[in-house]
Amino acid sequence: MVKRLILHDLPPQMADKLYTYDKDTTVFYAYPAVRHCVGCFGCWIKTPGQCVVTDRAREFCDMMPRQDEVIIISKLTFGGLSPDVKAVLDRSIGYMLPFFRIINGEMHHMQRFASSPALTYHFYQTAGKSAQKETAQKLAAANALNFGSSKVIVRFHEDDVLISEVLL
Amino acid sequence: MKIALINASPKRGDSASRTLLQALEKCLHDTEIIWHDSASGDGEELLRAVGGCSALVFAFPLYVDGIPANLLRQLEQACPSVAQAAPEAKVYALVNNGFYDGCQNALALEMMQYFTQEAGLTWGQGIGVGAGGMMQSAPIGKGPLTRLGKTMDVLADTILQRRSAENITIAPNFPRFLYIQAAHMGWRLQAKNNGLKKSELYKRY
Ligand SMILES: Cc1cc2nc3c(=O)[nH]c(=O)nc-3n(C[C@H](O)[C@H](O)[C@H](O)COP(=O)(O)O)c2cc1C
Repeated sequence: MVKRLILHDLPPQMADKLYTYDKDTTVFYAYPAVRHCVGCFGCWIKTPGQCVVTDRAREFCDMMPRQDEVIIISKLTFGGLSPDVKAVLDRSIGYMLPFFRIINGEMHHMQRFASSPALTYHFYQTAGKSAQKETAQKLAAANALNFGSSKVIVRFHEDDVLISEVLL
Repeated sequence: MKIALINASPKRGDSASRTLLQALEKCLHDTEIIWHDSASGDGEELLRAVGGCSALVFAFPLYVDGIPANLLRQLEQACPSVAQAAPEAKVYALVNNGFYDGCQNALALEMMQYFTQEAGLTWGQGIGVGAGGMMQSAPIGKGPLTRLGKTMDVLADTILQRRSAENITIAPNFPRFLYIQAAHMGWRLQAKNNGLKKSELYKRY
């Protein structure tokens, strides 16, 4: 089975439907918000691969290497991710190495793991925000480069997102 | 004219963002300056701080190709009422990143522009500063930070004249391969000081 990890910020009544899916799908609810990264780089130079702050954000980063796909569901916020979802990703940079490499003429991170999960983004409440959607598309591509994912998919949902559209 | 300098680096104490704002402050003559620390706190505090300001200058690090979560939350909370608190305000952003290429800050600048638009404020200018790790390596305006110094002079003029300008992104006057070497040495040294062996930096979990 394909192992999937879903990170989302959906309202509870919609989120409930995610949990009943299947045993290979793990759900990480971005709400209530995890503490935000304080920029100490402890996850690179003190406890490599693990954030030094001990709250549940650690679990997300711990689970990442074991997935085939990471699905990120977020309200489109200023052309990017919502604060709750972003807080989880900011806390997950221990997933990669501090060291740099050049890809397409730009600096990016070297990877701690041999291969990375595919990344799929679902942005919702995107109606009337065509410029923001373009930025979100570029954001997903940039994230994929830094997390070492060779496959990235971005989907937009004008209104709310239906779970049936996420878990195909 | 009242200008708000908003330091949104989540780091306590020294940060590249703070250094950038300090350098800018030195060029902002004869004007009232308000400092606000957005490392933590909420949108309410941000709103109170920027009340009546005609320029809001946000400085922050690039996090995962975007705005760090601490600031993002404050922006989302403040968005509906910031135009009431500071109706005349133009928004400027100074984003720095760890990679050498300042152009990687372009997405975060775009995000700040969407915030500005949704808040009903006016965009002033965005500066993307590469190689944030070098901010403390020399005084801004000297050596590797010569170009940055000139950029800050121009930004200060733009702010004082209440103008808007095109976003720009810059890299230091310093070769990239040396920046990479220095950074790699730095990581290894810091890990060693924390009692780690070199191989432990690569640990898989
Ligand atoms: C959680 C986290 C995410 C980061 N993501 C990026 C990134 O996507 N691209 C980049 O170039 N640097 C990234 N950096 C590096 C910071 O932007 C860099 O260290 C910056 O100089 C910190 O600025 P400050 O001292 O003002 O906080 C990241 C750092 C942290 C802690």
